[in-house]
Amino acid sequence: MSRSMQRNIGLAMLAVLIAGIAGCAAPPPPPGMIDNLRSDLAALEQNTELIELAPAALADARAAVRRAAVDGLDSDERGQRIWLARKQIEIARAEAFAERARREIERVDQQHADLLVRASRLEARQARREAERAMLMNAAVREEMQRTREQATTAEERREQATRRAEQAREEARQARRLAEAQSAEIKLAQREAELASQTAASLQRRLDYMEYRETDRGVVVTLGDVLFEVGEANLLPSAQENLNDVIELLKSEPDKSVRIEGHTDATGPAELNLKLSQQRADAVRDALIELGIEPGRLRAVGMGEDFPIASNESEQGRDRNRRVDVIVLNE
Amino acid sequence: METSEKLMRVRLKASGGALLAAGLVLAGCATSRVDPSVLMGADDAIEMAEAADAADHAPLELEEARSLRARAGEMAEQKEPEAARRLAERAALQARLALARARGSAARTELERKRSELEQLRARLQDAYGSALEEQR
Repeated sequence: MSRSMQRNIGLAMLAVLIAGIAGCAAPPPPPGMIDNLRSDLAALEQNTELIELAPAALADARAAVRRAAVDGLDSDERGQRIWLARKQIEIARAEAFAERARREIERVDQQHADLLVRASRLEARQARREAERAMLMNAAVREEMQRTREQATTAEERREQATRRAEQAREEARQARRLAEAQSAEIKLAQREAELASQTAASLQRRLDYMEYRETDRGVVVTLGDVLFEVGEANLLPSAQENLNDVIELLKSEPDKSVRIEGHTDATGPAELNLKLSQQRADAVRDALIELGIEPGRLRAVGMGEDFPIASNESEQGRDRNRRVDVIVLNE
Repeated sequence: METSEKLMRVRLKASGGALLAAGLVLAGCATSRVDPSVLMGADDAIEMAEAADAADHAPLELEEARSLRARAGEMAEQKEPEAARRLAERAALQARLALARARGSAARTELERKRSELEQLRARLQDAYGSALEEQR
């Protein structure tokens, strides 16, 4: 190998090294592309009615836009992040549309149930009125017969009247039975209304089922498991936002109530550290709720450490349950 | 609830993969290994979209996700981990879009059905009870 060749190789290696360094510390983002991305996001956010339907997906899209706009990316990675951010915006829009359709379905279901209730009520009322009218007519017929009997003279007439009386008595019995039936239809209707109301309640309950959820003297307590966090970490996992959606819904349905966010840990490790970790986790949940649109003034985050277990710290299962964040909608 | 747990898992995997990939990039600006969790994240997301009938309700989006995933696999075989990672990330998000659109389309179909059922019921009851139906209450 000649000397000049060696030098050329050396130069080439240097060039590659410089290019490599330049690649790692690339220039700030090209303003045009990022501006386009931001205006796409802004267009989505402008439709407030729509975007309230998919808060988690919107948060994902915002985060993706932020990640695409950071300094120091090479052009491949920049292109990648812009692509991803654009896709997240599309996903947020699609999820919002889907949610809007689902809510519309709930509304139509409700109208359907209302209509059925109204119809059965009309049906029952009509049946009762008819039965009552028939009874009244019967009474009129009986009076008429009574009068005729008083005036009747011949035996033939009396016999005829006896037949009619018997017929009349049978008719009255039939009508009394019909009235009783109409009344029992009304009882059934009341049962049906109660059933429909409990179905509506059940659909809300289903949503709450997979969160641990209980009523206490202090208020409704929603327990978020430690799946929200990496072990020993206080940062929320991205998956946590999915879980928080239902909490958000609950909090928005009670806009006047204050909310206490309590972090708890198991009894593993030093108590001081646990106290600190539980505070950080409560803070992280509070910050996430604020980002998802809950008014900061309503929220108070408190670290409770390891002193308030809800299960035994002796078993792995118990410790799993003790590592949690309680969100309490306070009764006041 | 099962699907949301699954989505959570997909996101978990995807974020773990992204973190690892970011770490590797920082470590040396290049590496020859493909992080399998990134590919798995894309597979899970596609599987979820398929389970939500994306083939019927969002066929184009699903097809695009599958094609991105296939190209990610090819890049992984050719020892191009960066390209593989990027394609797999795109495949996962594309599949999430397919999922969201499929759910939306399924919901709109159901909505149309329920609306027409409601109108039929209303018409039938109008015939039976007339204006009393609206007056009541």
